[in-house]
Amino acid sequence: MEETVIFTLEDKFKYPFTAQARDHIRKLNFSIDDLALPIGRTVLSLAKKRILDAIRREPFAKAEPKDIDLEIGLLSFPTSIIILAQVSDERLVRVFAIYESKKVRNFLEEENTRKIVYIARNGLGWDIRSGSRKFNLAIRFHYYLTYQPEYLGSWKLVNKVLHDGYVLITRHELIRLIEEFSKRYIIKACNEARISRLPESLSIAIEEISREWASVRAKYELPKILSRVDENEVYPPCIINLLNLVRRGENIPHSGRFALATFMLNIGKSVDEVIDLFRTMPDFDENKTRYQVEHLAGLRGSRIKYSTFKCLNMKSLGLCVKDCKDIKHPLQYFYRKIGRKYGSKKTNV
Amino acid sequence: MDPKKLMFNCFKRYYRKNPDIVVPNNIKQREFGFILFINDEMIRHTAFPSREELVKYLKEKVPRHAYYSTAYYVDPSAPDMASKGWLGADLVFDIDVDHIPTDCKADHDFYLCQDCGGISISGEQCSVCGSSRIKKVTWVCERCLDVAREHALRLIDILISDFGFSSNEIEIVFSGHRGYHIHVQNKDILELGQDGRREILDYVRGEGIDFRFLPGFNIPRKGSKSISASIDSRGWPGRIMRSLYNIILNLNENNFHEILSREIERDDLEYILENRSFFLEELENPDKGYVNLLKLRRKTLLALLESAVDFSKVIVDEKVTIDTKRLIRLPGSLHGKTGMAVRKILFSDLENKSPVDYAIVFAENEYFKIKAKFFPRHILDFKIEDKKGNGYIVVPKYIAIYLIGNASEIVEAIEVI
Ligand code: SF4
Ligand SMILES: [Zn+2]
Ligand SMILES: [Zn+2]
Repeated sequence: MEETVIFTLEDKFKYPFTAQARDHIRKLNFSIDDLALPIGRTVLSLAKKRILDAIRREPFAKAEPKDIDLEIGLLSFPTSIIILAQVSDERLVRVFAIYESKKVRNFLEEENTRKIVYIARNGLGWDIRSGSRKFNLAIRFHYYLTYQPEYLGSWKLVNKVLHDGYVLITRHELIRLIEEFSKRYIIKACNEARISRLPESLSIAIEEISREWASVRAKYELPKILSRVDENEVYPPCIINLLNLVRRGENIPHSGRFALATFMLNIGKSVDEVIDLFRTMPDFDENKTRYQVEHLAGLRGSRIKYSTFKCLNMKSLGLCVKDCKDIKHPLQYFYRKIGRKYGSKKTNV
Repeated sequence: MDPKKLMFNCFKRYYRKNPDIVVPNNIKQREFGFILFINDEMIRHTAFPSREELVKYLKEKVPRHAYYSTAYYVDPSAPDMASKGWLGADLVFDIDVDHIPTDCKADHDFYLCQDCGGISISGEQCSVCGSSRIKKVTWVCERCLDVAREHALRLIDILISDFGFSSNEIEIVFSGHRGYHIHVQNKDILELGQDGRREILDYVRGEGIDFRFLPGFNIPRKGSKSISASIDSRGWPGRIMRSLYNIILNLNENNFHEILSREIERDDLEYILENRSFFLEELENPDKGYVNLLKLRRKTLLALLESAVDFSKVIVDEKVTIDTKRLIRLPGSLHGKTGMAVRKILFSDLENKSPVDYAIVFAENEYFKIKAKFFPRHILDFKIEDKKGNGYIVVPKYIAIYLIGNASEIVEAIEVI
């Protein structure tokens, strides 16, 4: 028999996207008119703080509010979503969603496995099987496919054990799946949130956030390093697509980053130029990115300069956007366009 | 006799005799598409409230090809995709022997020049006029169909034991041509997007298997290798080990090129053969916990394992599975290239029968004398011969229809005998 898990108010505060938390919020019966009340002002200022923390990439330990009423803290979640829906900037929404879901991951990593399973099962309604002793976890495959954060390497379904409709996963993978869920939950909520009218206090908050965001938004913009060549002329459609996604600040999967970075390195971009490319990513971390790009460039570790994927692999990763005629490799496309022969200095993994 | 007219009349008679049309579930939410005999245009965005209306349409229009959407829509007859209101789609696999190499292809496939009408056996340019505007004319014979059947069986095994679908959620359809369509109707996959479907596709075709990640295989570049996967393991690890067992069991000096899809060195082959019974015994004892690989080299081991993957993967066309707005052939309709019926079949039919047993419609004992420019030597279950060597062949009706439907260019004259 499984022990019952106690899901406390604090848990609801940490995991506001769970059914239990949403239920609790509903029962508090808090409306936007209540934002004018003293208690509402506290909710509002917490909601603002949540968004500002995300914009400023405040370390979680520092960002965590101290000595607050947990119910007020819980209410700050839907309130921040309402503010974001009004500011209505896709990129800001993503910055917020990624920050919040990373925070969720941090919390989850501190929990015991039984609690994590409880959240997935009872909080999100996922079909999870868990062995009683060794915590062998298995998730019904369609939940896995829906919230799979990457389509590469150990995440790829074909490299998992799948039996009778269930995918074996580790505790860490379950955490990542929940993280992905929470991210998408927030994005969806921000896109769908509607309010009938805008009270004074709320519009002030919206203005404040907009102002703050406008002042830092530029940091998330792409420096114009790539405008020298006419990219649309020489880059293959898949790379142009990835570039566009990156520029819009979309959080592309690792496979996409790998493809883009190796492509750029292979056509002779410097490590710095490639790092700059990723500056617009909502979860950009300069040191981490530098490390990875240098690794790909063969400056670190195995000292192998990585080639980019061939079209066949691009297709299977879902990165190919067009069946280019007679092209087997994105680099081949590029070299053809600029009239140089492909294969002269090809290195491989 | 005008060959096209002959074909049309046969189709007309078929549809007017109340054929066994199997309509998809939720017919009202499906889009239908047809290609008639008059031109090659697809009539799309058609919808039917009931089976009766659909059958009436078929009788009236006598289509050369008939399709329906694997997707469900709010308004399937809306003129563009955006306004149809996509509700979800079945999970569909297309097994088509065209994508699978078979050695019988040399017996029936050829190339037709679109400039001079000349025939060539190899595909680069026309051997008569040198033009490069040539089209490949492919045919199927019993052997091709058997290969497709093998892949359909592999696929169904994966769908049931790995994905946990029940056999009544799986619909098997002979495509009327080169293979099978396997439909899965299950609420959990209904709303799955393209990324998820691609993962399922890659799973069934073993695409992207990487022994660095697949549980049960520890094959580092340096240090000791170990395999803890066994023939009893679940999912791909077990499938690979069972294939590995079969490979080692059947391997010999003469067949290793066919059995192994990856190359191994001669002395490694000898090493495996010398120790065959040891390896087999190791593999037969799944409870032992690991497989003793003796001194098998890493490279050789990987070649064996990758061959084992190739041995059990399903070759399936990718577009059909990924595209959630695709049209697929309607069971009970006729295939305009072969004149065979698209047939929904039972699992036992797939196991025990050939499409020649259940999909041939024009089976009357009627023979045709055809003057043919060129002809395939073996199609379906029939061997074609120009007995007198005068360019005339005599074939039964279903073969005549197939010749006309698939390559009317080669038919110069036709008459009933
Ligand atoms: S075919 Fe190759 S080069 Fe073209 S878009 Fe696809 S992956 Fe890129
Ligand atoms: Zn020619
Ligand atoms: Zn054949």
